[in-house]
Amino acid sequence: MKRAAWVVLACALASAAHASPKRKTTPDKFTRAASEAFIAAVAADQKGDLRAALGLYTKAFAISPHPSTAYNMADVQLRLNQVKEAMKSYETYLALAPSAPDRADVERLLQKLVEGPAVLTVKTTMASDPSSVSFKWMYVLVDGVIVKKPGVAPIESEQPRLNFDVAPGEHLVEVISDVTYGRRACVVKPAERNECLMTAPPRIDGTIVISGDDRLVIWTSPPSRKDRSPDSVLGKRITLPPGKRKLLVRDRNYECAPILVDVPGGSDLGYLNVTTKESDDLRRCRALDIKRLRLKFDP
Amino acid sequence: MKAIVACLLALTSAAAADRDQLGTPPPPGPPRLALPSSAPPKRKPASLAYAPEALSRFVDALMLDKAGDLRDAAHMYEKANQAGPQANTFYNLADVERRRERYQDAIEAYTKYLELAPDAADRKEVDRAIQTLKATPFLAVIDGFAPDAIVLVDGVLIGPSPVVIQLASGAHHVDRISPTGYRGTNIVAKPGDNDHVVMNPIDDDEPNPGNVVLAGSPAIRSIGGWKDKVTGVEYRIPERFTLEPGHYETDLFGDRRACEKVVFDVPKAKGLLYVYLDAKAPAKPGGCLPLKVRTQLLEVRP
Repeated sequence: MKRAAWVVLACALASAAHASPKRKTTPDKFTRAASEAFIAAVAADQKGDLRAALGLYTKAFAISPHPSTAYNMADVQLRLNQVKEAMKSYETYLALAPSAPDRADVERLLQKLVEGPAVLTVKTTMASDPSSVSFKWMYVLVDGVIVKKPGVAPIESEQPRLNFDVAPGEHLVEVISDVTYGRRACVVKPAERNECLMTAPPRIDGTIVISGDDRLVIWTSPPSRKDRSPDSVLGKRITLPPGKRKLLVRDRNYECAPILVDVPGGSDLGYLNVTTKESDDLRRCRALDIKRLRLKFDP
Repeated sequence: MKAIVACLLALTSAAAADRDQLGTPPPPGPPRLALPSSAPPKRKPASLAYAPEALSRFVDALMLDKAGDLRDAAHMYEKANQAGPQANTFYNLADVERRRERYQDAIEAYTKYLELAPDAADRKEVDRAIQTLKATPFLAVIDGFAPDAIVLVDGVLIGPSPVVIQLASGAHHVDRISPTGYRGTNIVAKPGDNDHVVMNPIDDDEPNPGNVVLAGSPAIRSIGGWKDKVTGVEYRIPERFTLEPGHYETDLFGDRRACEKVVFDVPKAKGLLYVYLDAKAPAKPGGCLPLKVRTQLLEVRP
């Protein structure tokens, strides 16, 4: 909690009442009102009444913004588990006090809040639903990275679940078995219970899963007279003959370099994940992050 | 021509590393270029002079900016300015627009920053940034739908499609050649501007496996064809067509508009003969067109 700035100001205001008007400047009405609310907020905070403290800090800040008020608001919001609001208040503090001596500490704290980790709980529907999945025999991937292999049993309960530490944000969760495939984009918020309900059709045949950023289009063949706008295979499990295959990629309206995949034969399954971290604003095919995997299933 | 070629600086896409070894091998490309947009972010803080609403929007914008959501960040900085215009908000908006490659918008926002903060300590630096953005070479993205194509600019093979390239001011000729297709066009490059040149064959239903591409500088100013009066051979420019192996000599458009004859040999070897007529504007009005014929045998295969 930061008290110094406003407490010093409040003391100055108190003493100003007894001082000669020639030597002391009269503080403006907003500063006075804000300092009163600030002092009351500090008192409420000390008593542990966090909601009252937050209300009073918010009031003080609305009357007259001050970096110390923003900092204290952030501190209280964090203790109230209002992480997103706390991040904004810390950013406000940094925006108002760019030379604050604790700038590096606050930036580190912000980074920690941005990166998490947060817990993602992957669940499925009840067994009565034909689209429920059996995690035990599945690969689970988060953002194209295997987080669980077949054979590892989930936490047993009426609805089996798996817990993973991830950074807050949107994540692509995929479940892949030798007979099916399911995917869902799940939003993970910091310091919240985040559940992602996975389902998959009972059966999807195919030799490779093409996955990644939904803003990309992936074709197995170019547009032709017969098929002017072929369906994108992104987000699908498809059948391609074993061997090296070339996939055509478009990023919005822009052509990208083709991607070569090695489609396995036998009981193995190919997996391709294509994403980009570059801004939507770039008017060209952005730099693509390509992950290729070969998923093995016991025959 | 050398001067123009020297100004062609291709950007090698990170994805280019993934190109298919089975397809057209990429030629050795020019070095990667640092665009103004690739410089790291530079942001200024708020101050106690900000109205609460403007401050709230400013911080929202800052957070979006840091999260990489540049479009929404720009929108939010604009909203902050609507709530109460501030020099630093315009500065940050300019920086976001620079990273979005919206250079004209960036220049406008930097200019507004200088208007609101005429005594800014970084005035010279901002003036320099404006000049740099104004002078940023034209950025062309050249691509198309036919796969396995290659791109040539002003008769120089740049690489497999897609190509992202900075071009010197002025007119340029661009060719995109796929295994069974071709498209050639002229584009005009202006500093600080950019263009997405989608080059599909004029009739993408009909495969064109011709063994010769005839293209030329924008200075030729004409497209179409002619029939050689002596040999009866039909030529078209810019176009892809089939010629028997042998020696060819003809007058451009069958008349005397070019100072030199168009002369080239079609080899028996497999491949595509690319004939580029490198022309300069006539020295005098009504004079003949100085012409250099440059040929190269290309391999364009799926």
